Amino acid sequence: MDIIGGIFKRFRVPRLIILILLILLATLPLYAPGYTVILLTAILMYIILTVSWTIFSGPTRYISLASAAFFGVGVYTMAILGKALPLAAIISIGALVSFILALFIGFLTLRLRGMYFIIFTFGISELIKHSLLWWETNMTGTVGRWVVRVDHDQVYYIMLAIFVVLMLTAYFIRHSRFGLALKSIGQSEEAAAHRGINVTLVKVVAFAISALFMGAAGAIMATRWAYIDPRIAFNPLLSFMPVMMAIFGGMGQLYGPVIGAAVFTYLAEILMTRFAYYYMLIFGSVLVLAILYLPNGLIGLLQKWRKRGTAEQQAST
Amino acid sequence: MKKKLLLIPLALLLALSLVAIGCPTPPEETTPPTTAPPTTPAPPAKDEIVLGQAIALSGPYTIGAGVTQVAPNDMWIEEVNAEGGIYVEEYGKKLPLRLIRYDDTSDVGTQVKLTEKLILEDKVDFILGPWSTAMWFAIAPTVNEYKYPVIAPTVDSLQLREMWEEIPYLFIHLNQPKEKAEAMVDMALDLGVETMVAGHLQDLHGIEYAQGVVPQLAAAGVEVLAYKSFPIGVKDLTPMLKEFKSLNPDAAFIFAYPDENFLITAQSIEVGFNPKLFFCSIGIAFSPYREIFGAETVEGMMGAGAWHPSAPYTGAKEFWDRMTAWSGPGGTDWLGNAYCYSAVQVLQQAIEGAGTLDRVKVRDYIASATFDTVIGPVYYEKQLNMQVPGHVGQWQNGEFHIVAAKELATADIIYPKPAWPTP
Repeated sequence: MDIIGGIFKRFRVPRLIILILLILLATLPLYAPGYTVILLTAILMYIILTVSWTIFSGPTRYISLASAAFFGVGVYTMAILGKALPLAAIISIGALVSFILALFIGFLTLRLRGMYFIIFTFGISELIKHSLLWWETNMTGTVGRWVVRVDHDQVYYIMLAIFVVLMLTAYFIRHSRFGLALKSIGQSEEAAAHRGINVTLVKVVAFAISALFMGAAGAIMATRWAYIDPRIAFNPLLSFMPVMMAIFGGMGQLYGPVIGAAVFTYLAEILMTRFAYYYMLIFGSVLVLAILYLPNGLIGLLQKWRKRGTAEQQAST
Repeated sequence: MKKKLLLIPLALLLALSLVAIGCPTPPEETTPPTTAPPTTPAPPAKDEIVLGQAIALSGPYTIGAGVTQVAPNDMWIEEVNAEGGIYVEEYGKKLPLRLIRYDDTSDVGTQVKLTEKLILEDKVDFILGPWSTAMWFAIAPTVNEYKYPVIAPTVDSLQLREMWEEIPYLFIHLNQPKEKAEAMVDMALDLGVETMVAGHLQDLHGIEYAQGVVPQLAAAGVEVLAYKSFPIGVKDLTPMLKEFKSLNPDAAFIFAYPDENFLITAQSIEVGFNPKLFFCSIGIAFSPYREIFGAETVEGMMGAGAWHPSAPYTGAKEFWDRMTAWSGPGGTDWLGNAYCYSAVQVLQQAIEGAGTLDRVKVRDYIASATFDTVIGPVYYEKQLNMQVPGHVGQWQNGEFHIVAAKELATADIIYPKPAWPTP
């Protein structure tokens, strides 16, 4: 009985809070002003990119700069199929195409390590971008496409749904044998291989799962952008942002990248609206300070405060 | 473990509360006007006109946006406010202007989001709009959905123009590739150009423009010796220019943005490529172009679209004197400044003419009236501005003169283009 009680104690409160939060998020469009929903959609998009990036790159420590490629594939799927198929179908196709692309890239490149892997993943999204540019310039004779427009509440709900599924997936991966395998690859790939882990397969599957969510997010986000061309869809910034956001938040915990992406996106929003002329200057300074003084990200800071708090408590009792 | 699990919801809560703080619910007193029907006889009290603009203040579009659009917009606001504002009949008084400006970071997604912020959260009266074709494309559905009339002085696209029926709130102000191309074809044939090379950027502007010029010249009997394309962000075009040089054409036509056109100028000087007619589309009309290379070097270079203070339009010369004083002689744009300034002149005259801040009425007024501006009498057909001050410009003695179409010219064409000065 003690064990069950312990489990209850351990899980009931957080679950309740998560549930309340989810209900709040789900009912938000009913009472919040229109722009809050739009801003939260953007924040959710970056959270999705960052958390899915962390699924693979967090435990394995392989820095992937291919996020823009997977996101862009989703964007293009929506741009091409937007008028032909229902929304859910296009998002699924976008996710699937990204998944398959990641499997392909994974089997091709995950034997590479360190610098080589980083450069290759960055190269692949540039390659796709320039191939598309070449194709559109020389074959279709026009660059740029309109994307079907979707009501922003609907975009928000879809983004929220992707986010929930992603968080569940990330949670279960973290607490499964698969997650442990990923972690052991990050600690020592040779040792993991000797323990009988099929390292290539594990890496490729994790890489593809992370791409799946990026593709889905790209497909639905494209409807908010209205107009896209290869440079917009495969913007290299979308590869760097998740990395910076994950570092900013801290990668040790599941909620680190969530906080990182949320605070990061929100900070950018404040700066580009309230301090428009100094946006980059301030943003850059904040980044430098964060890297210098927050080696474990924002959650590192939180944990430090908590530890100090409990230490003081113990000292006073 | 327990503590860690507790942290998850705490973190989420923190993230959410941050969001909530940052999205202040609109103050209560502003809600009634928005819910009131626009036909209410007595308009809500107002003591200013709020303008919104999300434009590139950082990222690759910064320089183009700043030189071309931000400067004339700011100058106009200062001028209007110096006179007490814009007279709006329904309020029976002059209302001063207040601008809310955001940085779109040269990113399309951010642009759309911030335009929606201006509309939904800041509830601005009018929108001044972003810089560059892709950005205008991106906000077209948004301004249409919320019925905000916008006048686009920095958009250059056949595709957008063909959609005029679907986007009644977007007015295309700049002269468009089709007309510019026709004027260029006539000019080249008049000058007796027999052989040519062409290069274009792999984007909407480059492709559409090149498609408007190259096939037509070829059909008229001009021999196309080379037809190349290059991607945005290209850092070295000497191989292409060396090839062009070896073909020894009469004319070279480049359709690209300032970055590439500045690069092509610099590298053409390097490899000694100097055709009799040298045209590069965007950015040539910038004063910084003359400042960087020197007036003597750019003599005879041609660019897309043209305007000159000596053209016979109301206030053209005075506008240029003020603009030059505002941005400094090295910071103006001989084409875009006049276009961007005339676009806000149209907005001002439309508000005065319609006598209201009702956006639907202002939109209808813009669509039907003629406006006296620094680029001449502007009127719109199918939301496209029919008044064009010039199609091709050429640097002559440090000034960017209109040389085509013929009837609009403020100076004779220099042909052949003089050699690059020897350093």
